[in-house]
Amino acid sequence: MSHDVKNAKNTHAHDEKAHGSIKLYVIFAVILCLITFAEWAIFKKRDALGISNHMLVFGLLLLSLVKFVMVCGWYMHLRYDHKSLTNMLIMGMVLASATFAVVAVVVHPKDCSASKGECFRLGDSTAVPEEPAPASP
Amino acid sequence: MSASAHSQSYSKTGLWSWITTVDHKRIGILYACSALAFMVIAGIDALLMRSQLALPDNGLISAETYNGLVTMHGTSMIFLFIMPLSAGFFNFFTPLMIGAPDVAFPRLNALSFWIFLFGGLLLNFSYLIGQMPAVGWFAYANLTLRQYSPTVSVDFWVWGIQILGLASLIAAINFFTTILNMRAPGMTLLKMPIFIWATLVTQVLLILALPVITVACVMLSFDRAFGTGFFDPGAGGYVLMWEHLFWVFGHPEVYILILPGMGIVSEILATFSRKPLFGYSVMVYSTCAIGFLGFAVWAHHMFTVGMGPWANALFSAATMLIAIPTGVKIFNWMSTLWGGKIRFTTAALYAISFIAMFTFGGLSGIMHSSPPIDTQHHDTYFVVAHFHYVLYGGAVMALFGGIYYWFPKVTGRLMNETLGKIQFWLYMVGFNLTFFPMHFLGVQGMPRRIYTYAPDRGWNLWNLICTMGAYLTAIGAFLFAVNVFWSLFKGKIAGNDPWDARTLEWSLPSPPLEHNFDVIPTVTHLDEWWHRKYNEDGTRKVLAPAPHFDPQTIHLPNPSYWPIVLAFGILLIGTGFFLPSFGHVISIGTSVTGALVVLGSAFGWSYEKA
Amino acid sequence: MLDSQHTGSAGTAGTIHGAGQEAHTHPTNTGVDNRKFAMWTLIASECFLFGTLIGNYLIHKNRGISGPKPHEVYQIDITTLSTFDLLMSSVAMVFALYYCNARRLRLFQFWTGVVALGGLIFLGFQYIEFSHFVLKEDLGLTRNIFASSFYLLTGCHGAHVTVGVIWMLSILITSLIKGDKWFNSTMVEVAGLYWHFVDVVWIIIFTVVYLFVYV
Repeated sequence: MSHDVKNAKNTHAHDEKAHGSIKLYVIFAVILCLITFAEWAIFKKRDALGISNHMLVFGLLLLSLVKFVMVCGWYMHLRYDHKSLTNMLIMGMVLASATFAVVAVVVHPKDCSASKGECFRLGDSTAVPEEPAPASP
Repeated sequence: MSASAHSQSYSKTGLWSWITTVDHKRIGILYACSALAFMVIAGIDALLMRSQLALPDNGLISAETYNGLVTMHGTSMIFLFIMPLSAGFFNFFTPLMIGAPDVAFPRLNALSFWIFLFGGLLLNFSYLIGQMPAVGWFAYANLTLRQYSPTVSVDFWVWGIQILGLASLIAAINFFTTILNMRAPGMTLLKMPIFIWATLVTQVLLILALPVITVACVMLSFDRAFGTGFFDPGAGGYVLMWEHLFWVFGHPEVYILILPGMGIVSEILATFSRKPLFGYSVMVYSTCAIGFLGFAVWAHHMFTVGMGPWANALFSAATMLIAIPTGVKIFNWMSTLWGGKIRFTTAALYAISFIAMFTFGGLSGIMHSSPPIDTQHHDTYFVVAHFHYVLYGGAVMALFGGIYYWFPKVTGRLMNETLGKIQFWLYMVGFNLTFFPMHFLGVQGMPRRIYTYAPDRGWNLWNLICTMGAYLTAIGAFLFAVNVFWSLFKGKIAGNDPWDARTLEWSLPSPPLEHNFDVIPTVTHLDEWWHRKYNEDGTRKVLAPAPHFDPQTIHLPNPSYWPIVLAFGILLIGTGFFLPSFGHVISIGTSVTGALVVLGSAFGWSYEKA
Repeated sequence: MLDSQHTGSAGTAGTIHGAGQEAHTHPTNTGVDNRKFAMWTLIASECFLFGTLIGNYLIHKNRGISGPKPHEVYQIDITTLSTFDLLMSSVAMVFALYYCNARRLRLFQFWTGVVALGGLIFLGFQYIEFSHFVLKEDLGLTRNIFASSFYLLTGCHGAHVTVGVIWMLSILITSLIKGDKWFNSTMVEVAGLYWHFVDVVWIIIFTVVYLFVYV
């Protein structure tokens, strides 16, 4: 973590390389628009395209990941910055996604997702299905 | 030296200079004093509870008041005592130990203190109008919904936590930036004092965990204010969602409380054994490991809610894993003492007792990591014994040790060792008398949070002993106050380095000058100050002459009143939510006024010359 | 050199996130300006904020007891447009920073204005969406648990956009007042990071909340 001369230079005002060029930004903007359009089109035509639900989730997540990386990497110029900044973002993203993936799995009772609409009125009693009652001494 | 330093350092006096201060040392003192004041209140809560429980079928206080005391005792001790007292240490010593002129954002630092103070006052205001939140420090849904807690009592808890959380978040971002960005030249990450490492990991935990409780509190206040149904099963909500969100925050919070204490103890033990900390890099890695694993174990607070065998097994395993880095630390502390030339000063006694008490609490913690055993102990006094051993015997003992250790650096005078040792033994005996019998009570089946019990349950003796211990501790706390005030005026002049210590803050005058370092030091070693004083073979070096100091190079940030104004605006925003009974105009008007104050002072702040 | 003499410019967010530090910032360990570093720290924190909100939404979205379900109310076409709008404002942000660095005052001011305008248009879309839900679909905040968690998530994002708009307008007004004397690249960059992150969050919300409506 010593003082990094190259990175210090990046904060200088006229450093073209550090902040990309207008041309690059425009190309990226076009790509971002195309991906958004593609997402919209895939969503609209999902039946005609015959995409399974799993593929749909996977594909759309992949597309949004591409957009995410483009904006973070280039528009937020993480690519040119000190790597500790990237690490911070990754730390936040990974820990948050992992935590709430687990929360969703633990909270969501299985029978509820299987039969949408049925279990809503049951409240939280669905959360304790198969646990045997603790044996009394 | 010290006397002249004193006059220079704190020559700017008066109330206004404290209100507008942006000096991290003064803010640290403010944090510590407020924390100790709040501790007195929370301690009185504890004494009242113990007095009520001293005898069976006691009628000293009502059930409702008892519930309020339980809640306020827990909430205050955590958010208004341990966290801000740790923040006091972070504030005063982080820049000094890393060789920085100040924190990264001095005015933000003042802002976080004022927000904390206002949040604490807001929470404590509930005593004055007799509306103490009576829901436990974890405020489990759906007891907190308007249906079951119709008065404003829970709003005090929600908004108190919300505002205190904001203060901690701002402070955490500030210290994280300071430590990673403002260290003296040569101080690589693995040459930082271990206390700084503990601080760093604590800030990471705060940064990542606080937003979760923020969202949970927003959801709860939406439920209460607007009638949404997040925690109302009748509306499709999940009561358990609160528990998950709370503990996703709450378990890292536990490490937020204990890690600073571990850092302080590591510094004290190394100093008073006259040895380097044993296994420094392993200590660093285990601190990081504890921080990381702290995010993966929240559901061990919920083994009895019926998450199913898989979830219980996984969280049980993750919890047991934490014992590994923690155990490594315990052995490293003992190895630090081993073969050292130990000086049993009061600070050292506190640090050594920390190891023992924390190990006790840690062992009962490992017992709880097993779901079958936890199911037996859940909501009994065994759990109360466990977490008081880690938080009181652990964190609080370490913080008191820290006060005895660093008091001379902060004030220029040593604390009275005789009084200190008497206080230590009162604390030690009182603490163990109070909390050790709680293990027995728990195993005998005494539930937590009951306000009284029947005389034929066999709990009478132990409860009486617990209460006697609590009063012993209170005498200790009184002696501590006497010691502080006596030492402030009559204590022995400390000089720069009374303990022959190891880290950079001891190279400065006591108290340090307002600009900290005349010339920013260049660091070549871990325990830099020690290596400046001693050769490798332990013989004394001649201290290198101080480098040329040009007072022109010192730039101090200007004092500012915007932090306190902005913090007041945030308080107003929260206050608006307490006033619906006065009509919507007043209620919304107060919040909007608060928002405008925040916006206005933000502009004033931005255009002010720092 | 000029920009380092005038440090403060930002609005609410700028201050809270650490605007206006002492002008004589000495070299930092990472070589990254403190304000920028703090903004990235805040972004790491915000990951958890929005992570909680999105997780909360996903858990609750199909648990509404009565009232409309997500797929009955979402208007993907309009949301796609507002996504497009926010992406374009992100591009404008990049241009604003570029011209700030290049000391081109008028272009810097123009693109900063475009960013703020983009944010306002997004808020307009959100207003249209919310009022459609409330008035046409009878989906108020308390109608069902899906609505509550949806409004909490998108409302929180909208609040972030609002703070961003205020920040951008503050930068624009400061620049209009101070003219050539004020090219505070670091401040603009930090504001830009905030803005891009709000955009990134929307990229995720667009996919996970709107496009996964049938999942």
